[in-house]
Amino acid sequence: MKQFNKKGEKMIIVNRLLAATLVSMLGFSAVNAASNDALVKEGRKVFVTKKLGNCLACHTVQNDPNIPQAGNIGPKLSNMDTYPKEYIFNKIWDPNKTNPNTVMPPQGRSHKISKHQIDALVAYLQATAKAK
Amino acid sequence: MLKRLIKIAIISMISGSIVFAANFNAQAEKDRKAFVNYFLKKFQDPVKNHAQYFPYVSVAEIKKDYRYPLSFQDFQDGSLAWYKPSREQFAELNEFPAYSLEVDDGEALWNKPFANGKTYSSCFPKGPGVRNDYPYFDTKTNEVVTIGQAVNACRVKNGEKPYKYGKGKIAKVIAYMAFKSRGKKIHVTIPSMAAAKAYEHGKKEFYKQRGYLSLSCNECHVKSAGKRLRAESLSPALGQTTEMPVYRVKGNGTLLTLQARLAGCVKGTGAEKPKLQSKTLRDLSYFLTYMSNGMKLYGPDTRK
Ligand code: HEC
Ligand code: HEC
Repeated sequence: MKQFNKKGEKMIIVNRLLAATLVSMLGFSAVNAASNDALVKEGRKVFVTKKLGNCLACHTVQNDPNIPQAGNIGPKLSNMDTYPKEYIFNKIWDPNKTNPNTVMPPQGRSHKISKHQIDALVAYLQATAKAK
Repeated sequence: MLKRLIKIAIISMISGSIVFAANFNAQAEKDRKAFVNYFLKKFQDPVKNHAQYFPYVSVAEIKKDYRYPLSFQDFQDGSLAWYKPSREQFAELNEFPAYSLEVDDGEALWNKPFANGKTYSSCFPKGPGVRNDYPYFDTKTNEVVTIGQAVNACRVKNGEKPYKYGKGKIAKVIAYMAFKSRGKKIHVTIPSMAAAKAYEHGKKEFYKQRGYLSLSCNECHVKSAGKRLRAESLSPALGQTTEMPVYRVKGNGTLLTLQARLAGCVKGTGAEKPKLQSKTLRDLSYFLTYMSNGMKLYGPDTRK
């Protein structure tokens, strides 16, 4: 019994270890997914809030028809997952860099919104492209 | 001989500055014609000119909601000129316009004698229907004079306290004057080099990017005129001063002077709100009104 127990205990320990790593792996990616969800959610808030990005003043977004009262000054933002993250980030940071004549405001450069909030916008825009 | 030389020198100086002012007027007229033509072309056929002027507006929306082509005088209607949903909504609202009460109040104020027994008529001998004479450039003080300043100058001259600018009683008095000026044409002139400077300053302010949004009047009211910012249909800069003071239905409804409206838009860019009747706002209104020369007034009017 003792022997068996010992063996058993070893097995249990190994199992436990395995389980623990698995759980921690799973847990990690779950946390990751959750934090991305949170980022996407935050991005949407920045997008629609007047005092924050107020992006909907000019843009509608693919697959998010519930964006209230969006304007029609800028293009509809679609297939954003096919754009590099940096492209979108830079566009929001200072669109004048790629298009000196644009009416789109440089809200990163002027510190109206933070780098973190722009990351959130990028996450949100890329998520909308996948949410079919 | 010396006298004659001096005479010639003086004459050539005077005629020189006249030529200079005339050249400047030609330049300003060139500005104005280009300004008017831009809008006439833009709103001639937004479906055909889609790629050039309305690249991100869906053709379906244009076909459904846009009104065109627009004539010069059509621009008097601001955003209601081109955006059918607003136009219909406001046509209904204006069956019993809220501003008519303000006009009545203004008329009463106009006729009520000051403590010294005189009325506004003592300062405005042609009567209240002179909204179209403002703003103008005063060649004695070398400043742009707005209608609000003229009303307050009249009060002060007659021993009364000046009104606060922007809204309230001053807007009511101007509303009455505007009402009596309906159908009269804007006729801003640039009479001197000092006036030309004020015009140039106003023009610079119009194209200057402001605030953390880095937006200019030009970007919202020229480039983006005929588009929507959120649900707000953007009015073309052409004709923008013809309906002032404007009754905004937003909130509980407020009658606003042109000065208040301009200051509001500057603040909207994230820039500091300028003082009403500051040189910046007066010169801006001078330039902006000049751009609509020849257009008939229809004030006050109702807007979102
Ligand atoms: C005042 C109008 C306006 C506002 C506000 C605005 N944009 Fe734009 N945006 C434009 C216009 C016009 C363009 C197209 C011209 C250009 O690329 O600069 C554009 C382009 C873009 C593009 C590139 C699209 C493409 O297909 O290349 C992205 C991404 C974008 N905007 C995101 C945003 C985000 C996010 C915000 C808010 C933080 C925002 N915009 C706010 C007007 C605006
Ligand atoms: C962020 C965009 C934006 C900018 C920049 C902006 N405006 Fe406006 N403006 C608006 C909106 C929106 C309205 C309300 C809808 C309309 O009538 O156009 C408005 C209204 C007005 C009106 C009243 C129009 C009417 O018919 O009652 C005037 C006059 C005006 N703006 C002038 C200016 C001037 C001059 C500047 C530059 C200092 C300026 N605006 C800058 C967005 C802007």
